[in-house]
Formats: sequence, structure tokens, C-alpha cells
Amino acid sequence: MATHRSNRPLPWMLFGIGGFLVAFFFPVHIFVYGIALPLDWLPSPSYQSTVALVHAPITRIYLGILLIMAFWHAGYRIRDTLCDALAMRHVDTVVAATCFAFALAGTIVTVVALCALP
Amino acid sequence: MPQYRQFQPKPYRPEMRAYWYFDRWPYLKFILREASSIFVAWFAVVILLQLNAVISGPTAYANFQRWMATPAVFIVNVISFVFICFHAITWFMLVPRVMARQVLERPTPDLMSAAPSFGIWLVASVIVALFALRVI
Repeated sequence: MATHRSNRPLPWMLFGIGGFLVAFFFPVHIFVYGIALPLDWLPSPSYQSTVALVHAPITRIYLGILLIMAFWHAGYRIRDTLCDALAMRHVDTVVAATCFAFALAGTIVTVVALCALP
Repeated sequence: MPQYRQFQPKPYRPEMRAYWYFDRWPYLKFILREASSIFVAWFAVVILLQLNAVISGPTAYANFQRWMATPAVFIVNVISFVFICFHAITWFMLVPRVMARQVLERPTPDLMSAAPSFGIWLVASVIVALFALRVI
């Protein structure tokens, strides 16, 4: 007899998958594009070769799954961070709506960007 | 004549300060780990900006690369790297907390249970880096 069913497991699943993907893939992205290339530690690939890389279907699928899951992971956790760290639990409805709207916006922009590639 | 009791039962009201996480190091560690999500959101947006720059052409991509090298953005990226590595390490160290694990009827050490995740992290990083730098 299910008197109360929580819908929390659904966003948690996205949070969990996102947590793994972010842990596996984000550090190398930040290291290569955010640290190593700006400091000229590594040879910078040409624009043409970067376009060719992004053109490959496997890259688009990879980026699509990674970014969408990262946005939901971040949205879910930022909500809890705001509620716990800034004592905003009493306005959780607003915080949750804002965070999940951010995740949804990220999802839409990711899909549009990956479909808009020349 | 009303009956007075000497000791009134007092309801338990736990008090929590707004900045409770400064009280103990494990609490602070918890909130720092949760705060890594802000940097995840930041770099997900950066990847989207990068994608947009690639779509827009060589000039836009060169501008994006220059923007990534500006001190402010660079510092935020370094902080993001530290926070997200912290997230990754603590995330992988959760595996021994949630999985029943034993080999030859003896519980395995925590690090051994977490080792496969760290291995995948290393291999995935090398593969992505080789693709990103157009070595393969």
C-alpha cells in the first residue's frame, strides 16, 4: 500500500549518473582546455582539427550525454548546497525550481548546440 | 488549588547555527564537497561556450582561447579543477561504503574496492586528452 511516493529517486538517478561522468571526465577537460593549453604546456591543435573532432558523431554523443548529466548533477547538488550552506531550506520550492530550471535550460542549449553544428 | 509540578518537561529543540559547517572539519569538508557542484555548472557552461565558438568560426574560437587565458578565468578554472578532483576522489571512495565486498571470505581494504574507479578515471582521462589534443 503506497500512501506516499517520493519522486526524489528520479532526479537522484540523474544526479548519480552525472556524479560518475563528471568525476571521470571533467578533470581532464578542465586540465587540457583550462590549464594546459592557456599555459602553452601542450601544443594547441588547429581550429580545423578541432572542428573535425566536434563533427564526429561519437564526440557529439559523448558531449551530449556528459553535459546533460553534468547539468542535472549540478542542479540537484546546488539546490542542496544553497539549502544547507545558506540556510534556505524554508524557501526550498523556489530554490529547487530555480536549480532544475537551470538544468533544463542547460539540457536544451546543449541539444540545440549539438544539432546546430555545421 | 492547582497542582504544580516542580519539573516541567521541556520539548527538545535542536539548535543549528546558520554557519554550522564551520564548527567541525568533517562538516566543512561536506559543504566544500557539495560546493563543487557550482564549479561543475561553471565548466559545463564553459564547454557550451567553447562549442558555440567552434560553431561560430575560427575568429570566435581564437577569441574563446584568449578569454580562457585571461587571469580571472584561468584562476576560476584552477579552483574548479581542485574542487572537481575533490568531488571525484570522494565519489570514488564511496564505493567501499555502499558495496558489500569480500574476497576469499575476508573484507577487502577500502582502497582496493575504490581502485577500479580510479583506474577507469586514469584511462578515460588519457583517452579524452589524446582526442582533445588531436593525437588520435
